[in-house]
Amino acid sequence: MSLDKDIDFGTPESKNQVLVSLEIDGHQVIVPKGTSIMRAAKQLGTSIPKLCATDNLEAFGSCRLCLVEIEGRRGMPASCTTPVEADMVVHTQTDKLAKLRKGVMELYISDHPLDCLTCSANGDCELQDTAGEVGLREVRYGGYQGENHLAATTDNSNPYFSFDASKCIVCSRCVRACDEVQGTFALTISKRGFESHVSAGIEESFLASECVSCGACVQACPTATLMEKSVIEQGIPEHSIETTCAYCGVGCTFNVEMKGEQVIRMVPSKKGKANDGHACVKGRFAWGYASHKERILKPMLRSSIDDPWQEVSWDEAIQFTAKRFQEIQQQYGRKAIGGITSSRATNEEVFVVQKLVRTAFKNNNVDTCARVCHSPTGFGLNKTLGTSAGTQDFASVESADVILLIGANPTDAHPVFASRMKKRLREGAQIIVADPRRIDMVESPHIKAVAHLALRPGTNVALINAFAHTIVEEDLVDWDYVNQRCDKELFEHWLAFIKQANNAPESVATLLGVDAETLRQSARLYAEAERAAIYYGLGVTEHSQGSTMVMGMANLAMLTGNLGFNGCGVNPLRGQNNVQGSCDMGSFPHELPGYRSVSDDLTRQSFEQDWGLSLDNEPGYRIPNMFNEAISGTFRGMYIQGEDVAQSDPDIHHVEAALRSLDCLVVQDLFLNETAKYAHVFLPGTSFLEKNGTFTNAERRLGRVRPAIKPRTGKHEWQITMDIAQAMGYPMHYEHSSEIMQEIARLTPTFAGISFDKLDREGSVQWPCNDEAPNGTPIMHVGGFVRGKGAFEITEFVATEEKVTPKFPLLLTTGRILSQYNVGAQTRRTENNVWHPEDILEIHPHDADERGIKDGDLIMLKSRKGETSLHALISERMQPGVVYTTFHMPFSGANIVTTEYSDWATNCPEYKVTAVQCKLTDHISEWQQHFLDYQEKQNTTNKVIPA
Amino acid sequence: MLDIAHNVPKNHFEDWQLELAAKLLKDFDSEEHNLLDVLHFFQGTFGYIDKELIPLLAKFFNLSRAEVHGVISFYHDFRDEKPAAYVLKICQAESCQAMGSNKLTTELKAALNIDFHETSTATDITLEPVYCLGNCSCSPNLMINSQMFSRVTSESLTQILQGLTEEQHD
Ligand code: SF4
Ligand code: SF4
Ligand code: SF4
Ligand code: FES
Ligand code: FES
Repeated sequence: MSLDKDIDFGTPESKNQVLVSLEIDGHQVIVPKGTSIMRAAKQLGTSIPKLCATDNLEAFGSCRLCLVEIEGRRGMPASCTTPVEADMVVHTQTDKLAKLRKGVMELYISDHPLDCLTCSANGDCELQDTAGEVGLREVRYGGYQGENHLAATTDNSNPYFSFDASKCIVCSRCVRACDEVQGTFALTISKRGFESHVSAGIEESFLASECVSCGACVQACPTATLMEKSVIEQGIPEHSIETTCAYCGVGCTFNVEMKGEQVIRMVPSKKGKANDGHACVKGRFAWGYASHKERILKPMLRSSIDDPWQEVSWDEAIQFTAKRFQEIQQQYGRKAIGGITSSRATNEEVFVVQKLVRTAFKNNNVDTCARVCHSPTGFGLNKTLGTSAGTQDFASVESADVILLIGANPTDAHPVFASRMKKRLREGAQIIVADPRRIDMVESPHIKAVAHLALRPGTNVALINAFAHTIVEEDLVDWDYVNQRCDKELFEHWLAFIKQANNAPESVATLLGVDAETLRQSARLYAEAERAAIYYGLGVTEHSQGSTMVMGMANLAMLTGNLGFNGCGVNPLRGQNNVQGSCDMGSFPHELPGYRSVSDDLTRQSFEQDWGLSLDNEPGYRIPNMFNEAISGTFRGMYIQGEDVAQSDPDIHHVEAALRSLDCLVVQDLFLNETAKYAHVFLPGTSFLEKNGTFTNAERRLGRVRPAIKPRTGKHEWQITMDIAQAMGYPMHYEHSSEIMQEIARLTPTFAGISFDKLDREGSVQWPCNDEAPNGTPIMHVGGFVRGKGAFEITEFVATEEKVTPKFPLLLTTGRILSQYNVGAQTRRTENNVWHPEDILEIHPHDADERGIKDGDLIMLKSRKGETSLHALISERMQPGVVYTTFHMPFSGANIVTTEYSDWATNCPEYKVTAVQCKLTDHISEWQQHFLDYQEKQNTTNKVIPA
Repeated sequence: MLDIAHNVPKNHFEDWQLELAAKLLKDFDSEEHNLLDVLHFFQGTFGYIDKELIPLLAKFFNLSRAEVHGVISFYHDFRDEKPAAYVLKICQAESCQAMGSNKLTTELKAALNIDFHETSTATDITLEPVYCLGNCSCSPNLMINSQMFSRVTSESLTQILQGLTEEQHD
């Protein structure tokens, strides 16, 4: 094993189709027009000394080290800023060049502390390497006597990296990385000449500045000026393993850089097609939870939830689980137990859990946490287009001309994709944002939406219908496309519906709170664009009409011919790293892997043959059914894989009551989470650093998750599930997780061509991957729809039952912020808390004023379901009448307040709309008090008794 | 743990000044290339560019705070602190240099105990270099606010400084 470093070509790749041939140091090289001499040389394996250039940034030409000689030209141009020309003859090493470079290098070094031996970057420093390359042996300027920057201070404010100004060579790579790669513009070069230096914000500390801690500047820095603290503390890593981030649905590729068995840092890989060498604060830095002291490493049992936990052997835990489950089934019937799969687990781990339920449990009571986020996506896109997944690859956004962003906040929830989108916007693409809040995509440095449709929560469908109505009425329809690719009968039917006057912008303007002309202009912009793309998030799905809205967006894209091409599409930004995968793997009570109905005899037969037993042909329980049946006493045992339903699901009171009524709750997780408070068996899970398998990101891309270390618990999660199956009498057996993938490929046509070998070879692959598409499918529905003809579905707007009343006059909508991830089980256990120590309530100044609320006041937030207290932040991002909070911290109890309403088709909860009241308070809510008491009690009962 | 001092200067600006600035901004076009014009205008209006103005300008031009700060700090013309009662500019260009402005500058710095671009609070004088005041025939020259002093010698310099201090105490 060695340290895998991406080769640095110095300047970005040229996309030009025309090829140019030239000679460098006597060798012929052919490269695309627009390539720099520096890059062309590197392609030949020739490194030209450089300091200010790196291949993810535009060439800058400031360090003057990369000079070359070109025959027939005067002077010595910089090879990073000089493009190749046909038949050029270039020399990269001559005596004259060597002398010049040495001189330049000497100037840099004369103002640099010469403490290489004790420097954190020793062995991984471009300045050091370059000094070697140019053969610098002595420094004449005696830097220590002359004016220098050696006394400059160090900024340690960021928890993950430090900025040691004395080592800075002012190459501005960090500034440009923040601008060009991340798009935050948090850094600048302040002053000029000798006084010039890097400044975060207005000479602020990194923490206080606009910096979002993505780490791009740290990666770009050629010296130890910007350096990970973990490297400073533990030294330079010596080997690395390529893996996939386990946080969000972007699925960034990383190199886990290690020293022995110790993880030193995570560095985003340029080979990653989802992230192109970029990362965010979560994936890049927030991995410390894997070795957090609260992590549970041994299986534990207790006979009642009031007893303390008892550590036991794996064997005992598994026998206990199997026995309890079997007893329940004997007494209450086959359907009295079930399982929930996790979108954080690998495809292989999820696959075996649903297999366990269908084989050893002999029913279809399996569901997934996607129920509470993107189930409407699967349903809606399948119905209209024929596939339960987004239509594009991420790179597609680089070709979009108009972007319609609905109910998604990518700068916080999908940061790396947001950087890509922002880059495209800076290149001139236009964006329309439909969101109740003024998110960063509406307005932030160098980003300005052409329109912000600040609609009232719960009115998405009326909005999308108004778009379609406008396009039909103003005859902006792509008739050729619709006639050729869509179902005629369904379209005619839909056309009659959409033409109805109640869908006109003028009819819905008041309801939406957006004026009709803005709606019309936005619809026109979308329809008339050469390539228009829709991106959306949970602001679409987590509504009572979530599925309707997904179909509405598919209708709109079909109507304007925006499906099946690069730069277009309907793109869900999926929350969890493997939510796409967990759905693909058949985590549904009505569907087997690959979205095929359990009642379809042919499909079932293929599984029955492979698995050697007959399967139930009736759908099982969805999560909400499981909870209801638990309360009524017919459902009594549950196996929950890595999901904290007691924090993440709506209407917590109800969830708690359900969990409390179970005879046997088995929780498999890293930590004793909220759900584990009600558990009888705790099976310790593995972190992504220990897993061996695959994750599928929001663009259907399967990436490998490779083990950097052995399972700290002694068992892979798929082995736990396999052992339970065996203990319950079903002979499930695999030697290695790759065998599970073989089985998935064997049984699922869309995955037929996928194997660990192929992924190791290709890096990553987008499904469908089979004989027809052996290298996967970046863009779906090319030339026609998967379902045959595209289906226009009727999308009647129906207002949610949840309405504001005099008693609850405000609407609460919930969301996420950058530094925390979902229920926070991981990020709360990292230093990311410096950015978000608690959930807060955002409220418009007008609403705050009316209630006498000031910044930082404690507020009681109350709905008809429950109440909780939060601190207030007065914010102009909100519209009057709408308040907002996140749900990262269990104590906030945001889901105490949310309601039981859900999407009509999929039961996806309506997190985004709850009627509430806010008022000043001086105490926490009863539930919160209870939470603290319970926590206290559990701290005593949770006291683990060692084996 | 914070090792670096937040050296964002204290808020000299009062609320009414910020409100005024916000109002004045409305007359400008928010195209990025107007930033320099606006900075000159604000410097003219307020005498300097207060740090408090940066977030306002950043939002108006859709830039980051860092970018606006970068522009301001790049140009010596822009002051980031309230100017003193007297701005003393001493010429550093060829003709004045030839006539001994270097020596005068050293003396001046020592007398006020400050460097270029700094303010001596005791005397309320800010010291700035300038490159030719267009009065080379009478070198060396210096200028205090808009008043020119020519053929300056060590002696006359002492007198000038004394005059300023007395004026203040009157
Ligand atoms: S960490 Fe990211 S956001 Fe922060 S300064 Fe560096 S590049 Fe910019
Ligand atoms: S901090 Fe690093 S990248 Fe930034 S200017 Fe200094 S040496 Fe270059
Ligand atoms: S959390 Fe998402 S965007 Fe951030 S590094 Fe991980 S996969 Fe990439
Ligand atoms: S690398 Fe070309 S000038 Fe710095
Ligand atoms: S050189 Fe000093 S006034 Fe011209």
